[in-house]
Amino acid sequence: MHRLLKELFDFERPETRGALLHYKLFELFLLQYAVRWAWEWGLYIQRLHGVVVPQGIARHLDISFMFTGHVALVNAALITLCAVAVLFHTLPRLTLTLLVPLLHLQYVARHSLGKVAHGSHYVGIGILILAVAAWGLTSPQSRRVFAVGSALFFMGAGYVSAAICKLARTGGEWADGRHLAMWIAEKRVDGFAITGDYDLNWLQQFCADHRSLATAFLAVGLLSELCGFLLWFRRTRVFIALALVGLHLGIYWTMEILFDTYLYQVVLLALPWPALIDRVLARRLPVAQGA
Amino acid sequence: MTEGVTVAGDEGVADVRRRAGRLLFGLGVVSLALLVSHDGEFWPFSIFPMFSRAGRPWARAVVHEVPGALPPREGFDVRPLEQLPGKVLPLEPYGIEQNDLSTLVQREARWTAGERHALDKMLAPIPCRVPLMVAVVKGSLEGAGPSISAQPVAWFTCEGERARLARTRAFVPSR
Repeated sequence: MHRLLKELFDFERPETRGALLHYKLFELFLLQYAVRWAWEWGLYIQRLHGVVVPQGIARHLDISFMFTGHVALVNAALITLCAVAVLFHTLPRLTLTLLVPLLHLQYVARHSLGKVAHGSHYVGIGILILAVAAWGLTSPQSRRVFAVGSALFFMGAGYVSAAICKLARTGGEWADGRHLAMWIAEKRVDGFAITGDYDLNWLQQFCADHRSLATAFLAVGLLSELCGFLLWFRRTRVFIALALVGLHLGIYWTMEILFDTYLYQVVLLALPWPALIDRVLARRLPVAQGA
Repeated sequence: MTEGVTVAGDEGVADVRRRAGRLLFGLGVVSLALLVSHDGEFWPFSIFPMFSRAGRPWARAVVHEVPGALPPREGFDVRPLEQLPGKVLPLEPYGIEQNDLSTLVQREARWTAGERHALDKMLAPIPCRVPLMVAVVKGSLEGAGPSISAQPVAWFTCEGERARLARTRAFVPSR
């Protein structure tokens, strides 16, 4: 456990400009998605009439008020205000604490017809972690180290959980090429319904026609997810990150589903951007001094 | 400039790490408790069950424009996808979410008034020119690959320019 904490939270390392800039990018990444989804979900909630299948807090509280008037848009405005306040370090503890339940409310109201979308969870966890850091740690630098390390922890845990769900619900035969053919057929119907287009790309057709190749794709993907915990360790972080990028690109090319925020967050947090930013800044510094 | 500044400040690094560990542990416990008590889903926490049920049958929705009068009871028969009447009406221009529509039609056999109302409201953005048909397309694994079939589940007529639910397999609204 102590070793894991050392891997996730490198408090000994002095914080460089690259690390600080990197954290700012991460914070901006989280906040801009929060604002974007707040409005996207808010506009969609305007077209719903009430809860059909309650999710999250809606299982305990009556959230029918979210579907009256423009409450969802007011909530989106509040979320935007909180996000801007966080960005400018105005009452960060209060605004981060407010962000989480407001976003949760917006999410459960939007996804009240039964279908739960998973594209926003890592961003939501990231914002929750920022709030926990604001309350639980005193120095800004500790908060930043904690935020990045904890986000990596939950991302790794999330991928492992996804793999365990697959093995638990389907068993070892999950990685059967026929299953990919089923999903490709399902996506084909979706494409037909959404755009009127019914054509498969070359990779989808190849997988549908070659069961062994499709099986290999699924097996590599499942293995990548199972190894998601390697995000927790500095030595393996980059390698598993690249494997997960491959996983998400594979899902996109075969299933036409892009978990964009997951992909971006893996790239943002798991690759050595702070060191790269430091190197770029160090190269530019002699020019600035001579100017 | 923050180079060379350590994070510990007045606290020792070990103390900060211990506190960070407790915070992370606490978050983990809270997330597990919420997941266990809410069937694996409590935003932003999830067990991420996407694609976990491999090889299971699926059901998705399509909407067709079908000129002419509403068909008789046989209009709800199961048939190959290519034999659905009329032509597909793409959902994208009207901002209708395919996932939400499909989730609704998957529960077609148990539709309540609330779900029929949700379906009626969902198709409201479509400027109705001819009757609309919502069909459920089902896929199942048979032998080497998927077998696909389709079945109309709801018919809409035009009231002015708005599509209105006219008939489902089990229900004819009174007007």
